[in-house]
Amino acid sequence: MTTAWKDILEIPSAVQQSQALIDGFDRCFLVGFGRLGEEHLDTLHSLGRIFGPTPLGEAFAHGLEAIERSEFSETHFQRLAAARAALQGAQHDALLAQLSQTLGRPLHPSSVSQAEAPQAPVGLTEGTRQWLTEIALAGFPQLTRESLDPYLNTLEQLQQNPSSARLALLLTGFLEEISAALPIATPHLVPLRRWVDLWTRAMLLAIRTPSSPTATPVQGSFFPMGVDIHHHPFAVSYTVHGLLQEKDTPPRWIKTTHTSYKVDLLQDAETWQLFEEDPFLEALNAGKSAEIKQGQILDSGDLLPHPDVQIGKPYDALALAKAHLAAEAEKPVALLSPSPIDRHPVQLAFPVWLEGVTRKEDDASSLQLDGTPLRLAEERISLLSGLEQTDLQKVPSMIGLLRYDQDGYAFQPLALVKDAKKGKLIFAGQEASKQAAAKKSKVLEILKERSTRLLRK
Amino acid sequence: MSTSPLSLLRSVIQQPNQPHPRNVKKVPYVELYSGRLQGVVSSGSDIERVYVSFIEANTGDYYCSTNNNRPCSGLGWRQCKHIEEMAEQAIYQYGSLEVARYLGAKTESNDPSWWAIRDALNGSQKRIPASEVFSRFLSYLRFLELPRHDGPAPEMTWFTSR
Ligand SMILES: [Zn+2]
Repeated sequence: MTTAWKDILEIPSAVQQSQALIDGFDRCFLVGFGRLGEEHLDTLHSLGRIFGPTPLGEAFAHGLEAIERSEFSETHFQRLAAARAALQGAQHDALLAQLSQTLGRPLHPSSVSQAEAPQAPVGLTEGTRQWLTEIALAGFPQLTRESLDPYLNTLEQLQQNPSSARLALLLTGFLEEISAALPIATPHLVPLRRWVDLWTRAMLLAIRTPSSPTATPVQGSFFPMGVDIHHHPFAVSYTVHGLLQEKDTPPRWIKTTHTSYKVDLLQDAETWQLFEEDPFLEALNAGKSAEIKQGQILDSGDLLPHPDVQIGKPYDALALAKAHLAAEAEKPVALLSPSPIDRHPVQLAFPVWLEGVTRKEDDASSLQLDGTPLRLAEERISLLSGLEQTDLQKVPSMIGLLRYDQDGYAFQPLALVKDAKKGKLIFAGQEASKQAAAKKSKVLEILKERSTRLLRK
Repeated sequence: MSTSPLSLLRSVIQQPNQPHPRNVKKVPYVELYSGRLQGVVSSGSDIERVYVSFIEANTGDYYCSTNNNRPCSGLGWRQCKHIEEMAEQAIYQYGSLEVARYLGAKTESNDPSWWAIRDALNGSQKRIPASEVFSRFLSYLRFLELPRHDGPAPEMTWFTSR
């Protein structure tokens, strides 16, 4: 018995309710916490009441009182960030629980390793929290060049420190985005939800670098299903998604990620040359499996870097998708949940196989699943994916990720069925390994050569 | 690219690709920063030489010097061709309206030429050390030397650009 898409894609009411609280919280970032009015404080108090007499609730209430007394220590802002993140973590869990239930997918909770993660130097994280606090006090529309420049030195040091890599990658993109928006003439054009998300993430990671989820040894066949590519002007990241088939266990959906800094001029296929050779990209390009002889996998489904891998045999991605990713799949893929600190609605990446998709006549980005609309997540499709607009607008069968954002679910394709009869699929990032091996990047060569002229005395 | 209010509410918003790929060989570096349009410009005649040029917002004051901090011989009562080349590439990268706006040049046009922007500014020579712009260029290139990060990077989920 299959659940209708209408029910699968229904947003749990708890998610909608907490949305209003988060919106209220976020509006404080428009005026700035240094100048909150009555209505802002009321909103914050009602948010505090949600947490009740829990440790987080008490810490939040304490922080809020301090802010009302105009005591703006960064520890209070840590608590505000923790509260907002907790609400979004709960939203994420509610969405994931509903999907795994309606689609009948087994869900494995993620446990966290006891091992302490290496921490960035205290001075750097303290400086970061201090700067984030100043931003919150000022409010986004009031930011100027002078609000950002004093922090750049700290950020440069964070970028060099591997234990703060995630924080530094995030802040590099965030600062660049704020810079590009300056001066902010119209407050209502501030992407408020997004910027408070980024602020909250940065604050959490600046409190401490989280421990990894538990790692276990892994061995089996990996069938790549496409690449999810992310970038801001100064960094690029790619994640190969796919099915892992081990002996005697149901298949698991796993992934592997690599990230590199870059310069903003680098944005086309040349970007791939920043990365080392990757057997998983090679396997995807060759249409063959990657045989993992020995590797380590985190509870979150992330394969740790540099496993022992050999390119295997050709595989039938279409058949695998139908068997394990379809709404009515008999052997549905087992899902892994993110590490507790990473739970946030944007991290939802629920693999599905869609068939018989039609489009609205006047809006090709509105996918129709038996009459239920599902938005195509165009904002998540990188130009580097190689997926073509004409295909995105017409193919009826796709493998991809169910995503979630403010206005509901959306679909991010990882593979498009170009020719159903021949079973021919186009994967996102399929050409990456070819492009990485292609001619050396001209832009990088010129930049480096020119800079040596500068240094010449 | 127009952004509808609805998409502005989202956590993930696709950013426009920036910048437009300019002629890197001619102008290896250009930026609107610290109240100046500034950059590094290749010499047209000597492969080994680069110039550092800048033009200040609002005053329109300008300068150009070699990598050895010698004043550019093309500077006189008017701007040299390096400044012009830098400005052309900046217009290509940021758009002429943005360059005019940043420099505080009041022009009538919706797509002002560099000449129109320059005439609206009308500054004079003002010396600044080339090292300020050099170090901006070097710290820009520093991104290419930073360590790669292998393993989960969930924060990157927020970022995509066209
Ligand atoms: Zn000159």
